[in-house]
Amino acid sequence: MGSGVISFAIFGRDNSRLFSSLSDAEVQSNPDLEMFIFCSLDIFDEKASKAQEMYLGQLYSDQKYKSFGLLTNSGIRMLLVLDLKCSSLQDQELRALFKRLHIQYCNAITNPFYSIGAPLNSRIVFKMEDGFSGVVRLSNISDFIAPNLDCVIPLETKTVHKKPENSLVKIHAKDKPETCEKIESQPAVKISLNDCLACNGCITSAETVLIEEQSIERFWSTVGSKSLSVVSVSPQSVASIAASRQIHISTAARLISAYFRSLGVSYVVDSSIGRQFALSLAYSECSTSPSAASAPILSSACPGFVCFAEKSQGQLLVPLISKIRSPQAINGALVKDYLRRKFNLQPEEVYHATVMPCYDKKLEASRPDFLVPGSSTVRETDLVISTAELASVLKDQELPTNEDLSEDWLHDFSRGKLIGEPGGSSGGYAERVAREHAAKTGRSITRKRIDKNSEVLEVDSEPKFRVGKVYGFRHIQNMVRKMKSGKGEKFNYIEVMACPGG
Amino acid sequence: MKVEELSRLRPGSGRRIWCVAWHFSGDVLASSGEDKTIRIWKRTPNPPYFECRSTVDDSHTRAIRCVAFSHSGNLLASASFDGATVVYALEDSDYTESNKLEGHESEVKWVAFSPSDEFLATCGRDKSVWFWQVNHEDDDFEVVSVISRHTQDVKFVGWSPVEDLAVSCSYDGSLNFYQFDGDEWKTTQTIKEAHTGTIWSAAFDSSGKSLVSVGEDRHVKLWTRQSENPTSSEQWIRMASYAVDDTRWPLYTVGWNNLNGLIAVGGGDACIRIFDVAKVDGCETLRLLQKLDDVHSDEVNAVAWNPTQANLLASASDDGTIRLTTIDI
Repeated sequence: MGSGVISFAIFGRDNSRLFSSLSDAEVQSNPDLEMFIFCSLDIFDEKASKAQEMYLGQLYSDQKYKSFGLLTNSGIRMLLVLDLKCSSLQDQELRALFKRLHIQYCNAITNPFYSIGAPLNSRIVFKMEDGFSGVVRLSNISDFIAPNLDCVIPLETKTVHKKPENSLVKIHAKDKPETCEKIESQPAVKISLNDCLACNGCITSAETVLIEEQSIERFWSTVGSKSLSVVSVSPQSVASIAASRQIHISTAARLISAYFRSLGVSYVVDSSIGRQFALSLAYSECSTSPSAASAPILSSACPGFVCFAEKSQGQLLVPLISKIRSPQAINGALVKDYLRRKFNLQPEEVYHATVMPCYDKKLEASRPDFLVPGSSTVRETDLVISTAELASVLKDQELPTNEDLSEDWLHDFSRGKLIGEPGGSSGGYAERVAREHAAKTGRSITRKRIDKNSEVLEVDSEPKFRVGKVYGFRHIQNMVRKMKSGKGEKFNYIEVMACPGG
Repeated sequence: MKVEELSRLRPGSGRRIWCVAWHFSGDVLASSGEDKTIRIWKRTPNPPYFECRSTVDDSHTRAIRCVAFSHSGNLLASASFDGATVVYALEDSDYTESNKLEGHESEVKWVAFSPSDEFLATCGRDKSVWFWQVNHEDDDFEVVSVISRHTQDVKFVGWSPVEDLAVSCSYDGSLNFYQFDGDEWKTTQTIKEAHTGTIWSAAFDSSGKSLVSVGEDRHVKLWTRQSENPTSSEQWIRMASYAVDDTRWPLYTVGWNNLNGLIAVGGGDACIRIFDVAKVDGCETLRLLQKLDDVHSDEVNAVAWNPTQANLLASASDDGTIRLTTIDI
């Protein structure tokens, strides 16, 4: 049992003890604890009437213990007593713990030999340890958008009406059949990354799924098994690694390429190929859209912003988001469509990984939008490695010697040749759109820098053409407020990035 | 100590009242509650001495947790469980909705104007504290900073009466202090485990040099400011702590009288306790002066001292009433 956990017990609607992690003798030999448990049960009743969810939070504390409770929708009380000094279990973990215990309980009572309301004895296996092991730790994720509190995937996915032979106690359903105990459907609920992407409710599960599906270890184990494997590396990642190793950018590119090629990767390419497509399309999208209603167009390259837009301002923002894919997604399509045709392969025989500076790109790659058309399992980008992950494995990598490579575009990156593009750290969408408009109309651009995270580029054409750069949550909020109220100047295009600094 | 009930106000709905707040004049009181209605009460010469002059019931879709007047009295703000904060401007002696501040993902728990009325702070269940600034060009509010330092629901945010310094209290048991660096709001100090369990509320004294906090652990704690250097990580330290041991209910609300120094604490046991700060052997300690157990019949959610009449305390409760009590030493 986890450290600091004193006791876990389940009580029926009438406060009869159904299960206790301690034997009766153990409890009775400790009058303080017994008293404490009774006091906590009293508070159950008081809190229950005000409760808006099953988890009731902290019930009671004294000099030695503190207790937490969960009241199921059928009135079963679950009580967890912790040592007062135990600080390792925070609210988030306790919620997760209670969820697991509740699932365990539901599993236990579905046992056909169990009659509702009877104590859960050893015959009805109730695996306590399952609940306490592997409480998932929260770790920091570089997500500047704070998570919601509740997961959209509820604990129970299906209401199963108990068969009459299973229960001795009749449950009187009044007008809502949902009031009967909800039972976990088999197999256990699996929360997929896409569910998490849709909700971000608990970073915990998003995190675990990410670690499972999108780790560099997973890359190592899968990359060798495919006929063709391609890695797209973002120029920001190359620059970061060059800076951390204090080497030239083209040396860094060769270093990265040599590492991947040593693992059996067929080609290492620059993600700027995709970016050039995205940039060249940005202005035409902007200038051909029926201006008034659909303006401004918001850039789609930042998965963090797209997630925020869908999650909290869907009606307002989603229609405005640019239809152009991000560089990562364009490269994905290039590899899984153009290249595989060129090499006469099936999509599932091709592997495409990317190296990206942003953790959220992992979420982007797992979106169903970026599955190979016609497939429900093959993704255009199979895996995303973050710059930090790559940097840690490259730490001890020797600088590469010159390889003799053929002079085609697929080997440009490996020969240290990168595609340069001006326009700042965030992809240069705003710059490109403003410059193309200025060139087309023959006018000049005036810049108004508001602060380090927002800038306005204005082309003094007729009508005026305004492009904005909006970085960071604070500016996004103010942008949304202005759009809602309709106040402030109108923009044609806004490059939006969730992280401050772009 | 002489305690008398001046008045008992019972809004029609009978629902839980979450908050009461005074206008700087001391003649106007605002209340809000579960019935999604804000009521403005004005002082009258005859009993019950306060009369409900206007109501706003169409600005929020869920319970209104908090109301606050700006220090100029020209604005009123309300924070609701529907996730929005609404600002009302005084027009023809009535408060009418002027701005809706959206951004919190879930329930907004508290709202407060800075002493300069330049900033507005809000906090809520999404664990964040937001600082909004008045844009004088269009009388709108802009987000200046969103700070997610707390790991749990933020219950309360309050301001020093003398400067732009804010404090927040959370379910995670910590206190955070914030100051403005000219560009953004920065967390200047975090006191972890300031209380065991939720901290429900805090209040500054008139000098802004002391703070009291109350929480689920039934403690009243006194903090004082040791240094005004915003880069010091130990600006605030705990000076005294008082354990209320005759209840097992949380202490939900605290008000520090800026005229006479009395501290009123309201809790889940329906009692209001009056404290003061006394020097004993050169050390500041909290002293319980009186326990008022017959003011309310259910949990006390908010207390507010009248800013001009030192002995007048307003309190709001789950029993659906607002009480006005005079407390003379």
